[in-house]
Amino acid sequence: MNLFKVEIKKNIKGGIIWGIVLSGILSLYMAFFPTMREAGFSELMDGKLDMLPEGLLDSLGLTEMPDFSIFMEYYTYVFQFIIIGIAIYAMILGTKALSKEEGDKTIEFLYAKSVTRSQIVISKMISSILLLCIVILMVMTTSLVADLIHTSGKNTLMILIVNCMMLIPILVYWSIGFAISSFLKDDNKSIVIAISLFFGTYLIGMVANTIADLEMLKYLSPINYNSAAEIFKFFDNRIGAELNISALILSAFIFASGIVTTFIKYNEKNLLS
Amino acid sequence: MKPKKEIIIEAVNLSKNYGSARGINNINLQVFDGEMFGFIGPNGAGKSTFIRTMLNFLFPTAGEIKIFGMDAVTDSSIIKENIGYVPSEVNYYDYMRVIDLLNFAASFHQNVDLGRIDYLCKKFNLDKTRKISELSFGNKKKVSIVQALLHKPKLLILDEPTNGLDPLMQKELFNTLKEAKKEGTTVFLSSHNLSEVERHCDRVGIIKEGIIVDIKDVSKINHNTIKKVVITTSKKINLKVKGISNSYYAKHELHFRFSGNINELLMELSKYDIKDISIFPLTLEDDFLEYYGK
Repeated sequence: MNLFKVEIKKNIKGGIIWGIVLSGILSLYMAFFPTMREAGFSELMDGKLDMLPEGLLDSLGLTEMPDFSIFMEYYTYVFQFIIIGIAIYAMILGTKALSKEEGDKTIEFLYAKSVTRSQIVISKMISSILLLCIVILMVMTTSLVADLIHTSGKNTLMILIVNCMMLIPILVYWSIGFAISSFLKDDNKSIVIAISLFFGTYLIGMVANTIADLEMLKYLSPINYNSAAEIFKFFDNRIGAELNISALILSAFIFASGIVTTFIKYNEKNLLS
Repeated sequence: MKPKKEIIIEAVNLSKNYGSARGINNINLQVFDGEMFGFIGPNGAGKSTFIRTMLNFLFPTAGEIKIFGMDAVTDSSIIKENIGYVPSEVNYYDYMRVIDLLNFAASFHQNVDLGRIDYLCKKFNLDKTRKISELSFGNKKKVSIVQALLHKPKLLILDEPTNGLDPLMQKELFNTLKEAKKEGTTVFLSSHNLSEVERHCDRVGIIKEGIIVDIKDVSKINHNTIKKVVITTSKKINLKVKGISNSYYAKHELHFRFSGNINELLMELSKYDIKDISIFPLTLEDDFLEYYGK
């Protein structure tokens, strides 16, 4: 508990800043919804976008042209970019969690105390999950407020479902980050590793969406497994909408593997000076 | 019959290799309850590797190390409930204040008397309200000493504890260590400062290239019967007296150790043209330098 409290105290400011920035971006985009709802604008957009190549539309997450006059379709389109931000934050939290103590050499203090390495990992995992939850709650609250303003709260349940479901890729990136952190000797390159790994796989996912022959590569990008729009359509009982169940199973597998790898590697790691 | 002393630290054929770099090799060592054990050796000899293996920062490549009779790897966190550690380099959470760090350290141990934190801070003249990032190296060292002592550990491991401390604080540290020793704490002191080890420790282990080359009982480094003699002569002489050892010439100076009858030595010397003579008590430093061939 002592370690958990210290972790929270150390990282809470960063978490709140991420939450404020992401909520701010979401608010800004949602403020445009009334404009999008105007039929004329929507038709204009549809007409212009139809002229773009299908591959480009796919890579922009516009596979099936969303109807921006519908709140949830506009929201899920905007939300996919917010999720990218949260996933990057999750991955940075993970990659820095263990490696920062080694980079700052404060780990010598912890290792000399009556605490097991597994307890250190557990404290850091729980505290970073809590920080992630704070960021997600801030974003979710912003979403609910936007829904309240624009549709008098008609989509509350759907917003909660989409937000909860999008926790899955976020946790996958978080656990990958932790596993990487257990291998690092310091945190000098942790942010670079987190961001390049995220965008590397994200770009592969985009390419996989545009080239049919490379479709299998989309499994390298957890954020592309089930998009916010697909989740909304599935739970909205739209015809033909479905969830990629194998991707969900793969997510669970990567998540578990990341956690197990972290514990195994960290428990056998030599702390070199 | 003297009661057998409990073994606090026991290394059996302990080795730690870092690939091609040297670590420690086949170390066998016992440190007993209530003693102050000095651990000396030059940089890179393996002192810190041994300490880091004791504390399970490193995993042994071979052999084992037991502390309080428990395995230093599998029972590490139980063992550390009763260990205080002062590292040679002090790195703490910069954003914390001294008191936050000390409270954090105390939170890992049961039933810590928080009044003891005040007592130790006063003793080491440490301002609890200052931020860690604002502290000098010496003051950070004081924090590390206080956090190591606050739970009255059964074993104190100190790695170069006097680095960065002014002479007054060094004295205070050793007074505190003596107090702790009286109360039954075992002290494992790694240091470059041979005179401080000689002054305060009961036994000393000398490590060279990862191997313990000697373990000495400091009280038996007999300053009265073994002397270091330096004689300046006009030409080389060959002394034939019992008790001369380790003799060598450096320029016109004959250096040797003498453990025989001093009168016989003086009688022998009277036969030669001696320009100067100096006789010193043998110190731990002489032994140390002998092992390192200087």
